[in-house]
Amino acid sequence: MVISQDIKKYIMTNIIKLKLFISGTTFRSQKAREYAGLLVADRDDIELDIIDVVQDPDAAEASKVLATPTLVKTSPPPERGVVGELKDLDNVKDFLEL
Amino acid sequence: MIEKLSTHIPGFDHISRGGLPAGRTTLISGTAGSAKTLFAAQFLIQGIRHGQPGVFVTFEETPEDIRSNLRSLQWPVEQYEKEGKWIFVDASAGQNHQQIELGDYDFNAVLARIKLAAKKVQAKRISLDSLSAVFNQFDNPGIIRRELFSMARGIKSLGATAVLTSERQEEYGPIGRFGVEEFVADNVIILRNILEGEKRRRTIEILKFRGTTHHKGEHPFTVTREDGIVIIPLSSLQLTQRSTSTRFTSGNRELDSMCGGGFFRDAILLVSGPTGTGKTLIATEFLAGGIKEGHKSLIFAFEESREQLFRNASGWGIDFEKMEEEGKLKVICLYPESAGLEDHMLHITKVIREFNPQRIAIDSLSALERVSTIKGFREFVISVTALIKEKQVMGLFTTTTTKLLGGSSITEAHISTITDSIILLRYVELSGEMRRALTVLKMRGSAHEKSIREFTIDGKGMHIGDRLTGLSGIIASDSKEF
Repeated sequence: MVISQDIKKYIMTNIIKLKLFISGTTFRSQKAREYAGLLVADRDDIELDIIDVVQDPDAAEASKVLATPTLVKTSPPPERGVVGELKDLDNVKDFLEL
Repeated sequence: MIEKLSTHIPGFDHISRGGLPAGRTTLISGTAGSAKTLFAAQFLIQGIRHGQPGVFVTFEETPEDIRSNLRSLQWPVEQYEKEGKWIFVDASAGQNHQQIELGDYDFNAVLARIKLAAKKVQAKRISLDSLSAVFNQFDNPGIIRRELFSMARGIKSLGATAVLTSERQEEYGPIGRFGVEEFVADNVIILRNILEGEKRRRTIEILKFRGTTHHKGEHPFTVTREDGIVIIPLSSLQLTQRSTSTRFTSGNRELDSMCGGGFFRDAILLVSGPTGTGKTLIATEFLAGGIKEGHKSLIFAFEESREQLFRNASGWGIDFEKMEEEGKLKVICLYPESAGLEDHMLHITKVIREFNPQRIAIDSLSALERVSTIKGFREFVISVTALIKEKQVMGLFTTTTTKLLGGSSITEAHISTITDSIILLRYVELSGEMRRALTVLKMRGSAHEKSIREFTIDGKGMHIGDRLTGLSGIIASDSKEF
């Protein structure tokens, strides 16, 4: 029991957490959503959270986001962000160290 | 008709004829240090004091910096935040992580946050500081320009009255650094911090008020510890028709008769002459004469100390000390260099409003010339005159001419048109003796004696004697006997 808790914890702490902030159904936001989907396909170690700032402005406030779309890697540190529709996925991966 | 929202920023509602256009966006542009952020913050503070909550969107300083800056002005932002009257939207770069841009983006997130904040406090006012700082946080100027428009539109759709600041690089140059700022907002106001003849001068100018009126030109302002930005309105001067022909004594019977029976109740008088001719004496008799008629009198002395003034007065048989004890007189001695002209103006205004005198003397105006630029001085004189006219009191200014014999002063040149009466004092060289002469040069709304009279001064004050005949060129300084 104790061991499996530790393993769980180990996996949890090594999981990559991404947040994608979009706004409604704008073209830019839809594009970013698609690209982000490609980014996490076949990756069990990435957790992607999609937040629509129009519906959930509190989340935008909490993360102090200014622009949409914005993809933020919240963990592991350092925290980094990519602004824009993410069209160059290789660059996104490089910068976020995925 | 566009409605206006009273800002309650001192003086602003006057120069803007009622405040900022309500429900619209106004750009406040100025160089670094021109008090833009202060204007934006004061706009909210004054709103809260009048029951209108506000949102402060900061792209530049962190909320913590702004709180602590405003604390020194005794504006309790934190308390207002707790009471739900002030809310920050922190869009400052401080907390931001590393970030790159890949592709197109918009500012919908910050707009959603502004909307949320406005809803939370039921905002009537929004301040955004500054548009220019947005350009430091993002790379693509084309996108930023487009998005600033849509952000301004979004803010406007909230129905609140908004102030957007922006930074410019020259005092008299393009309105904004990025060429887009002035088009983003409905209205444009410029704040300036000009270095003129080694003196700093702050001014505010309303450049554009779409669809409504305002007073044109630059208006000086100052920043005080208690009130923040205080604008000094210049254009309130209107030479309204005299409502009364009531006259009061000048404090000297002979001078009264030369003036056709005394001074008018709301007259502005200028006494001009070289040093030692008796200007302070005329001012002293003017105050004492008023007190005898039951008027409260006030003097601002910029040239002599209290002790000196009191000694002078008692030398002419006038007891200033007793008058002040009885609350009929107030003597305020100020050192001209102790403050800028704007601050002197505020002080004078405050004392006049508190003491509520019927007579005011300033001895001398020319002492204040030293501490100001010519333009600033002229504005000061106009402001003081406007205040005196507004209060319907008698005002007497003295001014020192630079030449001992004849000559004129800069003060005269600047204010002679707004005074109702001018009294000239001169030294006259006559048969190997220096004597004093006086003439009433102008008396608006009344006939007056045009002769030049000799006068003497003794322990009972001024005595006006006979006409000086057989002489010419006294006023122009080269008297000649025929």
